[in-house]
Amino acid sequence: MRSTINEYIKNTKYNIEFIHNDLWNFDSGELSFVKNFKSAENMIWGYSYGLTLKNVFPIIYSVSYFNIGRLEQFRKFFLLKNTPFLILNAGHIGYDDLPAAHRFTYYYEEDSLFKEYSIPTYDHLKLNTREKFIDILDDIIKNKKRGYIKLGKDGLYD
Amino acid sequence: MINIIENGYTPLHKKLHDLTKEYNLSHYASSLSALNIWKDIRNKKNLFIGKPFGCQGLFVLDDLIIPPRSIITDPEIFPYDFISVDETLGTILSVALPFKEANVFLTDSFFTMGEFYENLHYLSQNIDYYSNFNIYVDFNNYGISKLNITIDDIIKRMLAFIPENQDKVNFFIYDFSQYSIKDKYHHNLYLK
Repeated sequence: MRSTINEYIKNTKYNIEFIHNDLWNFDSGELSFVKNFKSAENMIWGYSYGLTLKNVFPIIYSVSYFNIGRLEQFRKFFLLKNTPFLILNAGHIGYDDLPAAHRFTYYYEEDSLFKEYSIPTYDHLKLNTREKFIDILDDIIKNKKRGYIKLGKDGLYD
Repeated sequence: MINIIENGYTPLHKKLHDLTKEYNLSHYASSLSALNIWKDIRNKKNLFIGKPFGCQGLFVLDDLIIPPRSIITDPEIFPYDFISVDETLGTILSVALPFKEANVFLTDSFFTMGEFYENLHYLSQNIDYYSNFNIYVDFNNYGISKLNITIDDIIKRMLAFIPENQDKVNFFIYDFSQYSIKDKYHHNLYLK
């Protein structure tokens, strides 16, 4: 999925910014248009919201913990103001063979949060083709919707 | 650059005036009232107004009234790029980050926040996003009086932050103390 995202961002005609807030580098080589946000998570939502004021679509690439870490700010900036965003959960959550149990709490909190606000969530285990994945990316960004995609383990569709 | 604007004769102004000499800061005497200074600031492009966490009272300037503990979303009432209250300084600044030229007006006694230094650190780390960033600080006497930190400490921290970002960040420090009384008066009305 990461290489697909990389390719999508390189070729997109939409005004987007990819905000990298993961602890690790993007796994699939060079990624275009990346802003490595060297800061604490409490600034991520504010920065992303600022992008929407400039009519730039924010794509936030981060592990679950960072996404949910400042829930109140997330509610104020995105849920209450009804602004568009796409969160790409960079974590490997969902794989039984990975020692990610410590993140499961956040995983379930995020699911219930997005359900509460009727924000579509997409699970990597159900996005079983590259074309389907690109269609979803395109729909969210082109139509300025909101979405949350769990990327899971790297290597899918690569 | 730290610019101290002397726009009154309050005890805080006296203190700030002394500090300009001690730390060799830029210093401007202004005949403009706080209200007129605000009128000038509010006409600037990419204006972000923040009333940071911990500032309890209303902030009242001319037609701008920012109530406590709320987020203002009505663009017809508040035609500014962004107004937020009860956020951390870092959050308020981060909203302005994508704008290459931004003016941030921080109302009330924003230095009451314990994380002031920490947030300057975050700002410093992401400063490459800016080309010009002006921070207007309402540095009022009422808030200062409640601090566990001295004005000298704050100026020292600002000075420690500034050198690496000399061309990108400008602080403009005002004393809007005369509005503190009005602030408390309106706050009482709001509570009723």
